[in-house]
Amino acid sequence: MPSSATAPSKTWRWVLPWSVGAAALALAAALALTVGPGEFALGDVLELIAVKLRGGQLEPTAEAILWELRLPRILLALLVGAGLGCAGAVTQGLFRNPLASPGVLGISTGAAAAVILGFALGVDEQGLWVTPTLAGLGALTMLALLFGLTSRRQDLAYLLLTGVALNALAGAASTVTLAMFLDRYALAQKAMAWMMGSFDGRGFTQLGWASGPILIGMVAAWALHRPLDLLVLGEETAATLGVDRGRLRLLAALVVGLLVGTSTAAVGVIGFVGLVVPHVARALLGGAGHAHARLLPASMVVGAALMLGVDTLGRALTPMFLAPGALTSLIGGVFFLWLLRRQTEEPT
Amino acid sequence: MIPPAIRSLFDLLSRLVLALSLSLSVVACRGKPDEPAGAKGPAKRIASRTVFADEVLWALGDEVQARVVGLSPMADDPRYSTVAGRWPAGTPRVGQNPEELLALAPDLVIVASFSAPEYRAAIDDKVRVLVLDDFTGFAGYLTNLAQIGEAIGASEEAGRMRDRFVARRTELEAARPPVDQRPTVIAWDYGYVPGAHTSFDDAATTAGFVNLAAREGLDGHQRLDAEQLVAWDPAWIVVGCGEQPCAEARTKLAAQPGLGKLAAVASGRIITIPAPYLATTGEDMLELAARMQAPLLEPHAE
Amino acid sequence: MKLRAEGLGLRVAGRWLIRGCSFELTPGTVSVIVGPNGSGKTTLLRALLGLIQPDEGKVWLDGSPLARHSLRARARACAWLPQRTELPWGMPANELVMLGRAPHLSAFAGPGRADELAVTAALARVEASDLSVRDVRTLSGGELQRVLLARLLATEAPLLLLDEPTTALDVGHALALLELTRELAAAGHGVLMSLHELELARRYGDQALLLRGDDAGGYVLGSVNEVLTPAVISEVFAVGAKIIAGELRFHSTVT
Repeated sequence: MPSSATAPSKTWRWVLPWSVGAAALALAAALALTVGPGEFALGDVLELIAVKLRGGQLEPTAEAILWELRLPRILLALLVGAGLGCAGAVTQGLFRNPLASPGVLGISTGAAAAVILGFALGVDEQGLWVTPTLAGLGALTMLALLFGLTSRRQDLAYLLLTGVALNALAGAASTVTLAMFLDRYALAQKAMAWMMGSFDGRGFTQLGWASGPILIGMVAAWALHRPLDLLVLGEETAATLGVDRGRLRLLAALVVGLLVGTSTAAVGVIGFVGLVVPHVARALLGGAGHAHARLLPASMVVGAALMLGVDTLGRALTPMFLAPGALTSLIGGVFFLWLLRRQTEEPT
Repeated sequence: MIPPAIRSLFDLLSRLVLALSLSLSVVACRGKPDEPAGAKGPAKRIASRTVFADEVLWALGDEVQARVVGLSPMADDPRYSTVAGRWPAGTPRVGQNPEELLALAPDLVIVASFSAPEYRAAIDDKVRVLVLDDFTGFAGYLTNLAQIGEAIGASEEAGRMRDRFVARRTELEAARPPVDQRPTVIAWDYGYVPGAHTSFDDAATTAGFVNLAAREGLDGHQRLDAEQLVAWDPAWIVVGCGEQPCAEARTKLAAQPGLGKLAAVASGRIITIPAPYLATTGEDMLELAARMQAPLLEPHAE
Repeated sequence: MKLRAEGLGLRVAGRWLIRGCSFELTPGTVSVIVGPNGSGKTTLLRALLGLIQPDEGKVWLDGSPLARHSLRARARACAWLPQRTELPWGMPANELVMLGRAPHLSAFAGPGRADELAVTAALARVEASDLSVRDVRTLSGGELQRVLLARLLATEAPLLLLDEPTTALDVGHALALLELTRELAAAGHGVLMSLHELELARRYGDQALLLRGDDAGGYVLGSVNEVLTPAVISEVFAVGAKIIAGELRFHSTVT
């Protein structure tokens, strides 16, 4: 009868850290509102909340900075971080590999290449939906190529090398596209700003169109948690437990495409978040990290926290510019090397 | 193992930086002046590798124009060149391959110090090369102008251009408001702003503004957070029209999140500038100054 | 619940592994598949699970073709233990066993009381209750195989298909596992497993299917005593075989 005795405390063991985590994140977001140009204190932030709850307006500068620029950008950072962290956990589960991530496997680069092609052809001016769609299609194309190329062999080295090759190919595609339009300064500048990633100048409009797809993607990812759990036993064994392999691959690819595509379109290339975040989430969860029902939400929270931190650091350094994508790639690159070392050292 | 991702990013970035510096000659670039390789005798076959030289050579008149055998690839691009469409189509526009240039058998090549080092190395010992290295404003322009005039034996004509520049500058300076009444301005290029040591900085000062980005300590062209722009709250904003009609540039600016609340935008103190005048490092920096000064001197609503 | 193959034919790279074979797996019995290396034992099991399509014939689950049943229905009927399972670090044994409950869980709801009880019962059945919170990667070969088997039992599927479950085990653990399969059969499960050890197959199986590995899809089917005779074994495995004191003994035919 031990299970009946542990059942309620088990629930509590989960509810407590989750609520603490969510509250900490909300508090951090509120504090982050005070960081950056304009010398706003926590009091101003509280005033903002009070005024906005009454539907009023602040004085123009505070209104512009806190309400029109900083709040949506912080929300966007949280959203994108959660989405990328979630996409990373799905990718690692899908490939049953802790080194897999949209960044490492070239999925993000593919999304970037598609968007740069869109810039070059000028189709991004057609509407706000064009860039996210292109980014999503780019990510999906890379996933399809990965599945196609690794269908015969599924070992770690082969998967990673295929990812490296696809990464290089997609990178080259971007470079070739840019090289063909070298004389267009505006394009080059736009593409470069976008490659470095930035939350700067994103308002409620961007937040509005990004939040729908990312929220849908995260819910859909969570709906896949059980088949992803079963994949640790291997694809065939998972199939004997009721997992439709083809459908899982397709749905997971769509989820990753949606999350990475939308995030990339909204704030540019933010590398390696998908790699780092699920590992941190697993470390926090301990033995429970194998259950995607917990790993996915935990990755969302950790991803959101990481992105909030990166963005806040960037804003604190203003007017110096810190490219968030470059910063995450830097953190992620070192982390990846460390992980690779640890992986190869582990006895098998 | 990872570096592919990062490396390709850095590779791309470095290429982009190169492309930017090549295409936009306003990029701040300061270094120790080189002696032009062997400045002896006027050049008979002149090739230009910078938009700046394309502009100066055109302005130096018929005699000099007749000696030009090659132009920079962007000579005809209305976004960066103030002499777009003026040079005869028969004069070759020289691309990125040094062979193309050497085939023209020039006896003087004018390059910018930020040109690709491989390109310069490829031509350095085969032809006389004049390296221009100061594109940071008015003083740089006058130095570059004198160097070109001397190298091609047109010092007299270059001197006349110099006088014309100084005179027009003096005229603009005379018209500007007194020091304590000069309003602040920022040239906003969707995330980038020119700070100190830029052609914009000189033009703004001459027109009668205080370049706020320079006053806040930015040097050269820098990325700037939109929040920081709002926090600095410049009295005036300058935007380039780019590839769109200037009226559109104005609406687009006002539609940016947060920027619509800027006092400058709310009260219409936006100055739109057709593309090449924000990019040029030549004589037309004063055209930029003049276009900025005009609305400043107009009796304004406030 | 019955799993039935009818006129089954499987071909790999132009070679028939088995052809025209019909047999039935019924609750309460232990069936063994034997044959030389590469004769297609694993492939046959995969075909019976519906993981691959047979080249000829059909697999039936109760009254209708296997393909007509949903994946979940199939999962509730047949549980599968592959030869090797690569497991992640840090996963507790009871979480691994809980994975076996998947065919009973809805997409969103977590495991309930009944599922926890099934896991506890399954671990107890294989005498692995004390391993419940251990990291699966720290288990010994014998312990791991028991936990993996508990994962199958947690599914509560009447039919169990095991691919060489004794290969990684020492003789003591191998015998214990085979004893367990007999007990499970006695409790109403139908067990089908591939085995390397012919003597163990003879001792623990009821029905035997021997794949000849002759590229023409030849096989021998029948009770273990009919199939695993010295004559058949000598022919198929190219060894000398005798029954001495009720046990199979082998000797090399190359002298």
